[in-house]
Amino acid sequence: MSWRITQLLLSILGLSAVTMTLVFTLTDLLPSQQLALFGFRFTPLSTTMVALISFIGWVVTRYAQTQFAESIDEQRFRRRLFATIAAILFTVISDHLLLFWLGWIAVSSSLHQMLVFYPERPRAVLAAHKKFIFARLAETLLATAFILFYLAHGTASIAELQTVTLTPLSYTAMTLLAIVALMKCAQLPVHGWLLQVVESPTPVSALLHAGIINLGGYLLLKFSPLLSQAIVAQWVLLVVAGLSLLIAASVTMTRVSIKVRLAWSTVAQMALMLVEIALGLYSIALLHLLAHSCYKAYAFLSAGSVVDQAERATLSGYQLPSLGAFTVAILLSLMIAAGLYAVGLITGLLAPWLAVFMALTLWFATQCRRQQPLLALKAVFWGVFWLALYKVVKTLLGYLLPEAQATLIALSAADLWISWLLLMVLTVYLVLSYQPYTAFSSRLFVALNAGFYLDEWATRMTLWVWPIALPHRSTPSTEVALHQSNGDTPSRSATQQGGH
Amino acid sequence: MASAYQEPVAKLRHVVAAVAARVAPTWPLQRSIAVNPWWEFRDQAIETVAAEMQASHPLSMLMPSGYFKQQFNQQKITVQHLEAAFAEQLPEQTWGTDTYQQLLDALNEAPEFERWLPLTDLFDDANPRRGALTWHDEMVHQVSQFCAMWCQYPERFQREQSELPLVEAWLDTIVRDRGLEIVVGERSIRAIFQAVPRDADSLFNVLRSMLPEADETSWQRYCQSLILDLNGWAAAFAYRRWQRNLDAAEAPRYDEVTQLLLIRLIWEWVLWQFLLQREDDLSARVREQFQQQFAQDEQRFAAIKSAQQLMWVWQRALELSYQQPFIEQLQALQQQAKPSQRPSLQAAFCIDVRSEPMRRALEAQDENIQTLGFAGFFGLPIAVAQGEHHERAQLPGLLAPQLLAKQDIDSATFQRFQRDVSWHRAHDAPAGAFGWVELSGLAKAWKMLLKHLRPEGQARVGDQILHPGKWRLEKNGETLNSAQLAELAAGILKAMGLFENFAQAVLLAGHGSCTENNPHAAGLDCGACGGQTGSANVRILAQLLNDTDVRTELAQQHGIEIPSDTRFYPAMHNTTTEQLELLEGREQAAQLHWYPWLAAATAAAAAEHVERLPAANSAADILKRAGDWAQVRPEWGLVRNAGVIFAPRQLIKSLNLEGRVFLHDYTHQYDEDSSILTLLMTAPMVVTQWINMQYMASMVAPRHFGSGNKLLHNVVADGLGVFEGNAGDLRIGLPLQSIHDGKDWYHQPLRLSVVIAAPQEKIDAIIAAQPVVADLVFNGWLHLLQWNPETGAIARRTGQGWEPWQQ
Repeated sequence: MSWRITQLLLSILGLSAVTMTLVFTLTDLLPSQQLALFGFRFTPLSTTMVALISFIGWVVTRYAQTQFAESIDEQRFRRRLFATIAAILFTVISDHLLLFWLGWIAVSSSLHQMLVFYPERPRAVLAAHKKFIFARLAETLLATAFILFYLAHGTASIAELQTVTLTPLSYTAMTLLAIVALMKCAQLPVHGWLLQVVESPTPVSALLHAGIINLGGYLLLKFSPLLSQAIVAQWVLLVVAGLSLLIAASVTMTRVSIKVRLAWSTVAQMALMLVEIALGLYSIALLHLLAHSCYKAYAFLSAGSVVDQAERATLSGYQLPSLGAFTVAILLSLMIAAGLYAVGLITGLLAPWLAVFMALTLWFATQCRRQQPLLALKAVFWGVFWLALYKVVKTLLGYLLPEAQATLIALSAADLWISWLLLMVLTVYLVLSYQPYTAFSSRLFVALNAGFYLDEWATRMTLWVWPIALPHRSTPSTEVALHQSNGDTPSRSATQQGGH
Repeated sequence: MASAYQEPVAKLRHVVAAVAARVAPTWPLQRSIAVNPWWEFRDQAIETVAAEMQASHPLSMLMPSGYFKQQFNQQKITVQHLEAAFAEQLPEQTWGTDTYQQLLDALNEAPEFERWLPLTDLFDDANPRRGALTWHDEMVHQVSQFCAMWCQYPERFQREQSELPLVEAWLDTIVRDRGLEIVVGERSIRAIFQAVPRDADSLFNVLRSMLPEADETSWQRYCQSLILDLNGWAAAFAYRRWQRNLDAAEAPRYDEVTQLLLIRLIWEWVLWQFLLQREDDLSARVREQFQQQFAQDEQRFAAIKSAQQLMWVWQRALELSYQQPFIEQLQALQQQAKPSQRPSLQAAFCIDVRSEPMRRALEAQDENIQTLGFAGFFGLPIAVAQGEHHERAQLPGLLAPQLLAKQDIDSATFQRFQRDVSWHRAHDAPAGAFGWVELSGLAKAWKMLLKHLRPEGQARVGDQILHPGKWRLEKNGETLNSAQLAELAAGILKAMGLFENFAQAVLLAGHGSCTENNPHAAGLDCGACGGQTGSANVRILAQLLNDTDVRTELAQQHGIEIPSDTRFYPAMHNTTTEQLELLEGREQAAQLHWYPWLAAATAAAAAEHVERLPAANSAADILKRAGDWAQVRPEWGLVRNAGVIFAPRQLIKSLNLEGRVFLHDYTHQYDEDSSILTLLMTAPMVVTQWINMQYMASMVAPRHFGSGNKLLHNVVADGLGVFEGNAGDLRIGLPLQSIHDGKDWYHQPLRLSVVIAAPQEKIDAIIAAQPVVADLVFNGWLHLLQWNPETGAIARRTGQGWEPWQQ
């Protein structure tokens, strides 16, 4: 299929999905808000996801079309890319457990083909190998969970499963699903491959970070009515994703290259999404999933402009806000929060509001300058405006995906645990930014930079369980491609280059 | 005993310093300019350097034989070229009946060059560990990641009064690094690192202990092979050394390049200790192999050098295949009478090869148009200050800025920058990212749509904030007065050869690119302006020359009369979109008879540009490419550059040089004391040689001097350089896509042909006085040709003297 036809199909698909979502949500045309066909099912959730994947797919294929124009690799890349997008779409609309599982496998195996797009790069091969093992493990767990669901409730339809009450068997299955989601979302300690697969072309990273990595969250959202009943699964998520959130977010402050930093940021953002799901904030989690996909796709595709950004930062003389400005910012945020709480606009759990207000505070701090009080005032105005917008969007998404009322208890243990983690993220940020010279800060920095060596352990375990032969000495892909284009075999030219 | 021990340590110290000193700098991406990576080797013959490189690393300075075979099969290289090249390269041998066959055989039997193998590599080969990354890769990874941290987070590594701050900080990091021992699965490694001494004297003592007695060259080649493992970082640190030298600042005893080499040596020593501790056959064998290499070194080097001789014949033949038609073109030129009437328009362009098609296109509009070629910084030795925190040099990297150029900041743009940056920082920080992601995600979705539906090329950050306002030039904090400005202007006009017969309109055309999401954007901008566009320079110079006070001084003090109806216009040649536009004064100029020529020249140049670009069919395509964030070949840059001509434009106006030649105006009759020619041969000639070698190096040694595949580029430390993929050494040089069209090489690796229209004695005097020029000419780093336009005779300068060109 050519680039153009695929792009056309994706845009038609995307637009129809948006229309369907709107129709489902805004009208009572279909009382059950869904449309089922041969084991596939269109629900507001799945059509939203189709819209997202089509959009990201459209952007990525257009990008890749340009990058691979006139290249000998074009056809090979195009086929693999289209296969992957098709597999994601298939999975997203599957309702039958078997179809969903097959789709899930198709996604990771077609992704694997893209990750080893340059098979001569040892780090790419190693990362893909790690990913391969985790993916097979996750698929096995997923299959087990699905079989347990079927055994417990006698149905293979996810839609029908949503209405059941959990039995001990399906309770176990739900816990397995939580573990599968953690693995799919590259949570610690199985995150390493995600950082290392920046060894494949930029469009692959964009698609992976925007359209594949979040399938773990999508899986849980599909099963959300069941998750609400499974405390163990919730706590597995809260603990593992919670710690991943703290560590991964802190690590982003210590990285040296743009793409690896973005990958760590994805780990952190996926952690937040999973935590939101565990807390029962399904509509926020969905909003987060959609927004993060666009955010990260953009960030990867425009990673080259970081050079310009750095130039702009030097030119504008950016400096870390003073601690005084920071204090003022905190006070401003507290005042706004108190005001909104008083008029009843802030309700529900503490953690999501904390995240929002931390963000606001950080921005206020940059806007509080001694000579320009007007700037801070403007910032406050925009801050309140944004909060209102946030509330509106959240309410709208609530129509798509009802929240789990049962678990939404403010200041519950779960809520406090996540709030504490968020505050720790802030603390680490402040320590690293404002106290770079202390011994503690230095030790923390080195440990964070190394990701607490978690991935090294995972790598070693992987290679112990299933060793592979890696390309011996790294030969850049380009060299091989080039010498092929000169009509030489790679090995021959390697010796000519003087290799041994 | 003590003295015998001390002596080798001194030798090691010397060797380490010498090897570190040979590393050429690499500029950071924001101000990236072309560099000849073998600049510090220029005192040796290029063939010797090539053998040195090949002996120390899998690094060839010649294309693989498959390339020459292809060129031969396509009949680009002919037997005649080979014969001539053979006579030149191997004058002591004669072309016999079997020589031709020998040359062909040389392509078919790929010689297996033995090269230096450091301990890391020897151990990897002897002990292939299944499923693990090699020691070599681990070492590169570890040191490279550390260097990136060192550069991006300098505040983490503040150290008081340390002799070896880089080494110490690295040791501190590696002894804490548990990852290494986990990955390599060797617990004892960390203990060995802990035992490494921290002061320079003891360190050299310890390092020396693993080296056998051998002559200095073998030690030197060993160290050369080590530094090439971390070639990218070495070059990044060499840049800091280069800047320090330009600033005439005090050099530390051990600069960062030296310390990097020490780090690499420490890795070797740690492995050496590890092998000693292992006490098995394998480690004994590896240690023996390692030490034997020192004894075999000279033999290995000689073998490579002789094996490469025939390949140099092929390289030279390839160059002749370009030079011959090029020179025939020059020889066939008819004498042109110098027009005496006033030009209808004058336009000065940068010497850049991309100016040549544009100059032709403009000259075609009217026969009285005069164009000039001059270095694109227009002789202004400036740094431009914008705001309080930003200064950028706008002159060639060989020079240090003498003046600071300032204008009032455009506060609207400045505030927009501040807003963008603070917003960006707030949502980028981990504590802010969680709360901002929803909002910015939705904004980014919109931006992605726009990028595809309405692509727009961005001007460089520094250019966005320039405006037509008044400039001040300062020297040591004092603003220059009219007399000083006139002196500066007079020097520039004389060097340009533009001091009489001024047209009514004189365009000063800087050049710049316009790309999107391109970390290597600076590489497409003006190298003579330090990897920026020439925009600031032409604005400043035009303002200077339009100033009435300056003009009065020029007339009175320097005898340069600029007619009162002459106006200088700053202009910009956008090399990506092939547009030629005025930067200032457009409203007034729009009424004038010459103004439509600019649009017509733009159209003609764009049509020629389209033919060269892959996957472009019309001028509209070029515009779209400039704004396309996925575009890996927005333009071709200086690809295929092959020559430089120093001659009056009038003589060569009729030539189509296909955008492959740098053109600098030079009329030797106006240069009696040779001061201008000296300048040309020590500055523009060197700069063009750097550009030429950068392209050549990126092609012949893509692993070391090319930055690899753009699809994998991963910007390091906010623009210091790129990694190709996840990690590895810092990659320097040109990306693959800049020299390769996706299916085949687009560039041709030819050494620069320098053509000078000046008497031989004049050129010889400069060669004798300037060691840099002598090195470049005599050691084969370029081809120097003298052209006598009156007779059409061309002569070539070599170590043996002048030889008339006959072929």
